[in-house]
Amino acid sequence: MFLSRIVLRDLDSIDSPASMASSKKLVTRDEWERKLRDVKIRKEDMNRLVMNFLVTEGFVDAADKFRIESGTQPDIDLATITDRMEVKRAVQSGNVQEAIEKINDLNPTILDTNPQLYFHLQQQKLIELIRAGKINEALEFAQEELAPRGEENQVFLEEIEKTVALLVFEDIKNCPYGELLDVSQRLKTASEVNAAILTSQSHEKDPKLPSLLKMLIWTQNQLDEKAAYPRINNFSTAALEDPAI
Amino acid sequence: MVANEAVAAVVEEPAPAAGAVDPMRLASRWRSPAEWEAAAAEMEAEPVPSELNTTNSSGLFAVVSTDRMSVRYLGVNQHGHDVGVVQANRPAPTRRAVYYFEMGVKNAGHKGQTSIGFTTENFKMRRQPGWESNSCGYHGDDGYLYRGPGKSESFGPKFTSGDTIGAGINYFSEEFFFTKNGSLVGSFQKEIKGPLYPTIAVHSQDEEVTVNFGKEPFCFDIEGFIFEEKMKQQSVSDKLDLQPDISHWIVRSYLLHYGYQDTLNSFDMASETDPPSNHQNGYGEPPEMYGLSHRKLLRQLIMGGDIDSVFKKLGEWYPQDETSVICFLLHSQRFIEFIGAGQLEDAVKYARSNLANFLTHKAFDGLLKESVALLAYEKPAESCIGYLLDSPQREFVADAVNAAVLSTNPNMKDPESCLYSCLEKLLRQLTVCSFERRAFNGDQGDAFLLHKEVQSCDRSRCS
Repeated sequence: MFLSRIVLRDLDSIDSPASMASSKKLVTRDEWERKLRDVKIRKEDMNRLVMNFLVTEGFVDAADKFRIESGTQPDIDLATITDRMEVKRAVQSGNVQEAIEKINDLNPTILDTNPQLYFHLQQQKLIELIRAGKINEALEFAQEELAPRGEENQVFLEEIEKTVALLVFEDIKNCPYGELLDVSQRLKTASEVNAAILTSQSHEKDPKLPSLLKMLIWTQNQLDEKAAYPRINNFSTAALEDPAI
Repeated sequence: MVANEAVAAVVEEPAPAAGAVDPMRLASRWRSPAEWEAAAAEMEAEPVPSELNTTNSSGLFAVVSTDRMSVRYLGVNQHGHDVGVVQANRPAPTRRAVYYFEMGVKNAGHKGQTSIGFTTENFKMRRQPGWESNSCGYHGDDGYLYRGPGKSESFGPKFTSGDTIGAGINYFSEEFFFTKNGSLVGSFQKEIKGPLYPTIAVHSQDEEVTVNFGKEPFCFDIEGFIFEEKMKQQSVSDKLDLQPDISHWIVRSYLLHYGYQDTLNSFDMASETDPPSNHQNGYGEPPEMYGLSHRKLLRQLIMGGDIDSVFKKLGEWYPQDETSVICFLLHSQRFIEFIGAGQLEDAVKYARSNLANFLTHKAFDGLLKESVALLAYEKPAESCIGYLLDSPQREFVADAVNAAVLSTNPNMKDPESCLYSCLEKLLRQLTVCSFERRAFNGDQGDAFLLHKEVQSCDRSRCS
């Protein structure tokens, strides 16, 4: 993605070198590095950003160790992370019923106030039954638990139809909705569960760091329109690249 | 595991003196909370409108109250050039996401020709906002929006006595917007450049309006509005793709950089058992494995206040020049620890033999003065410099020692890397880009400040 942009920019400058040169302000590396040095960033704030990542992503042991090593207070009771991660893990390993029970232990209002989440969990349960080859059980579950919900909601109905279609195919791996059986479907449901629990604990459902990184991409792109300056294209090295003149 | 290999490498290779880190730069990273506050204030500082301007209005057609928060029409209006128009004492601030103010219609008078809007400095102070070029206004008698000569259009409801009308500038979308009694009426593109003054006007017998520049709570939920706008903005950037698992990688390299080894081990262990385990993802090993277990131990000792052991270990592993910044920081921390433990006599003795030498060094001035000042307080922990006794101060010293150790890595290509983690470099880049972008945009809009950002996650949790 980054590479392609650079190539495009180079093409632009070949097309109209004069206009490019005159319309964009050039910021030299020296100048830019001076600006970077002048930025005031508190260590505590970076620690909080890292703690926020560990907590939101559920690294409970690491969050606890980080609290000790850096003196940063987590922004949530660490015990609740353990519960949340158990639920998440249950979904990821296909134990949907266990996950539902655990969510209700944690806070019974989560599923009550979140019909979509509850539906997705039940859908996941059906998928797991089909995966395990428990055809009769799957049929019974679909008819008794899922079908009534499809009557309430058109989107749910379509989802049910897709899921039930899995039953029809002998070779389910090659059925058009085979992706439902993929691990990614479990991960999707698991992350939905994770987000719902976090929200119920009045915590943001996503860690702050990725959105800041996206903000960096966006801001660099915006600034590209006005100036040529040293960009960071590779976030894993954070190396400055000389401005394309 | 891997860390031990790195340590082994150190033992083989005699560690060079810590010359690569510029001592001044290490010292310049130290700031007292007061300085941090001042720095943040300076970044954001901008005068805001606080009252009505009584000097530039004609005064012939309207009278401003003594508290300069309301205006009343005088006499009877005759024509279009006897409007009682008043600007705020200062233009709307621009270095923010949104500026907003409100007007309360106390009395709509005979014709209800009150209005609210924005005008530039040279506005004709006897005309309605919106009647002249470079101005805009929402008028009560017809509910129309006016934005320059001959430019008027149906906009929203009329307003009259008892109504609260708001006007705002949304710097995200570069739009003006108006509200009535707490609801958004509408918004439109902001075409006017330059400093814009909040403006209100009255134009018929007995008309009277009050203004609220934010001292009183607003009728409109401006915080909610800003939040929504930020979400809109974020949803744009959220669509961008990140390198896979890059956040994970950055956090890991942060832990490595600062030698938070216990955290790192737990983090790695959890990552192995949890599905997205491909965090290495071909990024390669961060360069900061170097001296990891040494750095971890040194940090632990400093965080525990055991500076004597730090001197011992450091002398053994990474000998420091007696006059180096690191030695100064450690000596001053040792002194602080004496005070924290209530051993004042030892503190004085220690300062005389170890700190006095540094008094002539300018870079150390601030920290040294404040440390020594601790002696003056009976209860230093409760004094204004009590923060020196807290864990962030220990961590500051630990970070400096960490950087000094990293700087002895013969394979370190970029000397900046011992000062800044990958995360910090990215955050610095984001800050500069964001401020530069705003500068190109006529200094309008919000800019990124990490401190504000991490505080805002606290706030959103509270609400």
